[in-house]
Amino acid sequence: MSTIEARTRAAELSPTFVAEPTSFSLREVVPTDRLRLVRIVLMLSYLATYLWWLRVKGLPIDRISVAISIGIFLVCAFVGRSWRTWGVLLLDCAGYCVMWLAYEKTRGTADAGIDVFGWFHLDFPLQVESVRNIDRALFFGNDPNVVLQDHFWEPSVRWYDVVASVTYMTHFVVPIIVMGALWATSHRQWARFMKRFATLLGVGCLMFVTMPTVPPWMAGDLGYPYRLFDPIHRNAWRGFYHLGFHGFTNDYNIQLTNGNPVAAMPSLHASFALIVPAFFLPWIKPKWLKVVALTFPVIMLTSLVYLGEHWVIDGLIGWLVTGGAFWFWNWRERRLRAKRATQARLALS
Amino acid sequence: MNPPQVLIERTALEALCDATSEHHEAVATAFLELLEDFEADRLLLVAVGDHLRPHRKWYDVVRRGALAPVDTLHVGHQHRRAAGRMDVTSDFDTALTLVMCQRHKVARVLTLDPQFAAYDLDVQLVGVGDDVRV
Repeated sequence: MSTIEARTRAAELSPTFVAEPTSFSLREVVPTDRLRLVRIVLMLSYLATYLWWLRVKGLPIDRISVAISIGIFLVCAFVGRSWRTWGVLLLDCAGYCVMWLAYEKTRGTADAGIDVFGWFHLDFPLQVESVRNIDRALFFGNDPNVVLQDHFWEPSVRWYDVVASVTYMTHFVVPIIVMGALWATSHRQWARFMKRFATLLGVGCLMFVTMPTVPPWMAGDLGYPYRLFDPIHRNAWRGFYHLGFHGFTNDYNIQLTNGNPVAAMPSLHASFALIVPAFFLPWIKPKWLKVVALTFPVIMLTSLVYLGEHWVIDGLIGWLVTGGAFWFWNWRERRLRAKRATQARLALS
Repeated sequence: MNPPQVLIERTALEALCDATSEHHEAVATAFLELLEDFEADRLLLVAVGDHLRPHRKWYDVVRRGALAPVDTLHVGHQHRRAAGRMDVTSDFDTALTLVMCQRHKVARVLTLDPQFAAYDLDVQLVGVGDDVRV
């Protein structure tokens, strides 16, 4: 009889053994998952390749490139997992693609109004002066976009241009990295994150349709009829390009061409910048780190305003939508847990 | 990131679902005590899929009954193979439970079976005289 068997037998026979057990480690007795090491190596290789790609080819930001890159990552992270896990992953991926396609399709056509079953056409008024007036009311009669550019914009790239530009670009990768990491580590947390994320996109699309809003750069652009103030510089890519990320600008321009230029309200840049720290906030223990995490959305909104991409109110509404999504899903999940517990209590009473 | 998982082991599951079992009341009391923490999202209740199967049909999408709060730890071929290779116990179900505990990082086990106390698990034993937590 092996030592382990003897100890197990003793545990079975002796009641006193329960109170003072000689425990042995599960890691000792359960055969190791040999493919775990393969997964780790593959994921590290993926990370190295991604960083190389980022440096040499540029940051992949268009939806298809991002979907392919996350797909490759998931293959690395799921090697050796069960067929059922792969099946669930495929369903998740299908849902993920449908979510983005619905978003792109709605966002792209929102500015043209909507057809209701071919019966009638709903056109919503373009918001131009209303949003500007709210910003002016918030900032005592000043246009924050104009003030920031007047004070800080220079023909040469300054350090804050780099910070603003990089912060702006994180929108295209940070939520996706978080999704990938959660996908690979905890399906439960991934689902929690995605519910909130999809809610943001859904509410965002609804607002793009019902409240098409001219962004500040367009409000001052001479190519458009609004001309609420002198033209402001639209330079979101400048700082990023300054860092030497070639090949990025082309993808960005393609995306802009396909997008909806009057989808300023709410700012999904501001929403996404808040959803990530807000999601992880319960796990961040030091208060100072919580504060640091929450400065990211503030830097994002400041960057958006400085870069002329959004009004301040767009960002504030974006944060409000994020808060609303969290409130709703926290309430729903709490209710579901209570319902399940009640079911169990009733069955056992 | 997830709250700690409490695994309702096969023997505890059977006692919980069988009102005529001599340990039903003890297991039900221990289980009901866990529900408060479950509601507050301080723990998750889980059970091994193979052990849940007699008590919950695969098509039961809406959770009902005593096991409504219990999530399934789905067993894959790799888990069965690992359980088959274990030599600490001749009981396949026990081996499978140990594999699932290790692979899914289970924090605590609610069980009637004292042999789980031999492992580095937080074991909540019920039905052996007074309830014991080891």
